[in-house]
Amino acid sequence: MQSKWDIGEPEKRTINSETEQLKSELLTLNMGPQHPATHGVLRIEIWTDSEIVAHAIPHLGYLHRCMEKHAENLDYRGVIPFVDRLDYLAAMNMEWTYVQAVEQMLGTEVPRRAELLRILTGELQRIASHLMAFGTYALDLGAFTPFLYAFETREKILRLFEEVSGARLLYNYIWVGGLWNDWTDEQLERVGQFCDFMEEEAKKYNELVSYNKIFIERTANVGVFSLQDCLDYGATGPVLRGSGMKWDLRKNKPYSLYSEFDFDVPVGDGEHGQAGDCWNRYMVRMKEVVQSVKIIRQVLEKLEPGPIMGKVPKIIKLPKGEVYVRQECPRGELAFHLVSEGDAKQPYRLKVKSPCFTHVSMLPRVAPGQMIADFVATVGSIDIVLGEVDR
Amino acid sequence: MLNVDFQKLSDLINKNVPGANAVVNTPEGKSDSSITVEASSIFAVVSFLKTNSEMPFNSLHVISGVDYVEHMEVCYMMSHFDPEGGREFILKIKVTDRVNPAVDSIVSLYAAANFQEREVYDMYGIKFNNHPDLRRILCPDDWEGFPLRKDYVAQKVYNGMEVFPDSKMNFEDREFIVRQAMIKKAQTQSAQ
Amino acid sequence: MQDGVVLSTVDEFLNWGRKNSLWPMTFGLACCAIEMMATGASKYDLERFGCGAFMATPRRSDLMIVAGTVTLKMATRVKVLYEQMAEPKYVISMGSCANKGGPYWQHGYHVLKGVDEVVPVDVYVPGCPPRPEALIEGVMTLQKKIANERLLRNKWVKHA
Repeated sequence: MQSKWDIGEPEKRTINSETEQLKSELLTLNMGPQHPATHGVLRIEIWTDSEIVAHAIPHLGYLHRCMEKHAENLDYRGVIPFVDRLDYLAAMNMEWTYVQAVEQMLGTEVPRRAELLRILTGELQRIASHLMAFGTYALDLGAFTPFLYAFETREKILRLFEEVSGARLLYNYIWVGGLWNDWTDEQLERVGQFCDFMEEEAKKYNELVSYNKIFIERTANVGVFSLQDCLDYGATGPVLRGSGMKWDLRKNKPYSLYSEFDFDVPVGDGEHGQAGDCWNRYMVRMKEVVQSVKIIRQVLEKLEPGPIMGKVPKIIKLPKGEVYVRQECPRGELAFHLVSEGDAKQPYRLKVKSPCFTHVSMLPRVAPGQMIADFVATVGSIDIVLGEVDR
Repeated sequence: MLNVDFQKLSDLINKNVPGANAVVNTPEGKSDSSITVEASSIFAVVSFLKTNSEMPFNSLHVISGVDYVEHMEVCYMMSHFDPEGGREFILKIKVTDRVNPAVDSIVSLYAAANFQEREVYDMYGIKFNNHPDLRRILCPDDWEGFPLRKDYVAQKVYNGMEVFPDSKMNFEDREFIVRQAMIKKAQTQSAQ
Repeated sequence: MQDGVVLSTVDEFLNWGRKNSLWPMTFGLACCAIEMMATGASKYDLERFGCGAFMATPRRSDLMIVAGTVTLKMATRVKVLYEQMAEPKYVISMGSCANKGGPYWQHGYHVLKGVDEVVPVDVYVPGCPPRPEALIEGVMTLQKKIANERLLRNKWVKHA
């Protein structure tokens, strides 16, 4: 018996004869320079076919602050505050990479205590940066509480940095030849207490977010970067490790005193979803936090009193030549190409290889076929900071 | 640089890519060595580096340009990611034409070169042949001039906004501070 | 009749309502945005001043905190967003980059030397980046400024 709701076979359903000629075109959306996901001023032009993304074209340059032009007009020590502001969430690592480039050309000896304290601040900064990535990623996906937890924990680290260097976010602390201020024993004891606190917190975050069913549904099998894609596009850091390759500059090309330390390199192994998707990239960061705590504990055992500044001339003039120095920063591998022309007080050319710049170029490859909400999850998982992309 | 025997690599390049003229630059002091090849053979050299079996390089790190006043150089940082042993080195080419410089693009070999070459074009004006989408990336599309060249002078007005307004450029305060410091130094020296 | 008891009391009441519920628009551009987020987080709570609801859209907000460097490419968008906000609206310029170009003033060919070239600013907060307490002081100064406004007592509208 036919009911009154039965309107017949699909081929015969026509509202009017124009339905066969219904035109559909792609809709252009601007994930514009101002948007609530806190990555900064990135504009992505998305062409969508109903809810599915067809193309995604990133437009950069909304925060282009001419840092490389400034570096050519300032002396070597004066560039350090500008280098800070490249990736403002991991400022200590930026300074350390630049200072390492200058020291390699000058040939200065950095005292052992200064190297160990640089490792300590570098790893604390890595924890702070990964906490920020965790908090804002959860905020992108709609969860507000992890953001508050992450910021509360981060305030403890920033308090330590403020007591040592004087500033909360952009420090100007690591100088050519060493550090400019020493850590007291009382501050180092608080670092030890923070390590205990952080291990408990990491377990809490895993229960709250990482193994949460809703989070896994949102991020597993979403935005998969295959290993060949990562190598083609030059990805490094957690993006490369999340796709399965065990490459970490601290182990494969050890700089400073990292060869004396014992820690693991977490790799995305497909525990949930598959290797190379958003969940694995996120999980690599959470596991790296635990490894950083391990390194900090070893530093605290090895520290001994001593000088913190090596012998550096009053006016730094580098000999003619160039150097290319890489370091493992929280977002990938940061590298500086420093060219100097004979006796000048200023660099001739300072080129910054920023990891987020290469990661943004991978977005057009992985976007087609995703839904818009999945695309937002992918953009959040590669952890972009626009200060580094646009310099 | 990491794990690269420069003499062996430049011999390999010279043997397999005719016309490359690979030359090893070894500066004095603690700077890094690099290999310079001919600008016209860059595509052949890079495809050899990617596909050869003795010393392969599976990733391109960055492309950086440098402006020496008579010529410009483009440096390619080639790298190899392998948990057993990685490699990296600097490959350079010289571009002598300043009015209409042009180099072959390597986007079809490494997709990382897409954004990097756009940035070199934006900052130095070096065009890349066969690039799928060569336009400015960091500066706005209607910007005039190539900012990182040594003879660059910024335009005065962009879209109705002054780039360096006189009322905000504060040179007098800095000169005052420097003059005071020099006066004080002269006073302490004459007092001694 | 201008400063009579009735009109000035009603004015005070309206100003009290407006200054204690300023809804900011999230306009974080660079490093100062992180300090703005830290001000909104749990340690330096901005919600107790009424500024808790960070709206992403300009149509529903009445305070624009320009936090970070404004470049020439971005300046047209700042102006468009400012014009989309509904009256009465206020602007706080946070950090030295938004005040006068910041550390990039000397050779920055692409940096706008201060956001007051495109948008009228009410309060300037110095610092690089300013501490959360400094931003809170900026918001409190703006609240004092709003408390002295004369909405009903003037014949013509303020931001014409």
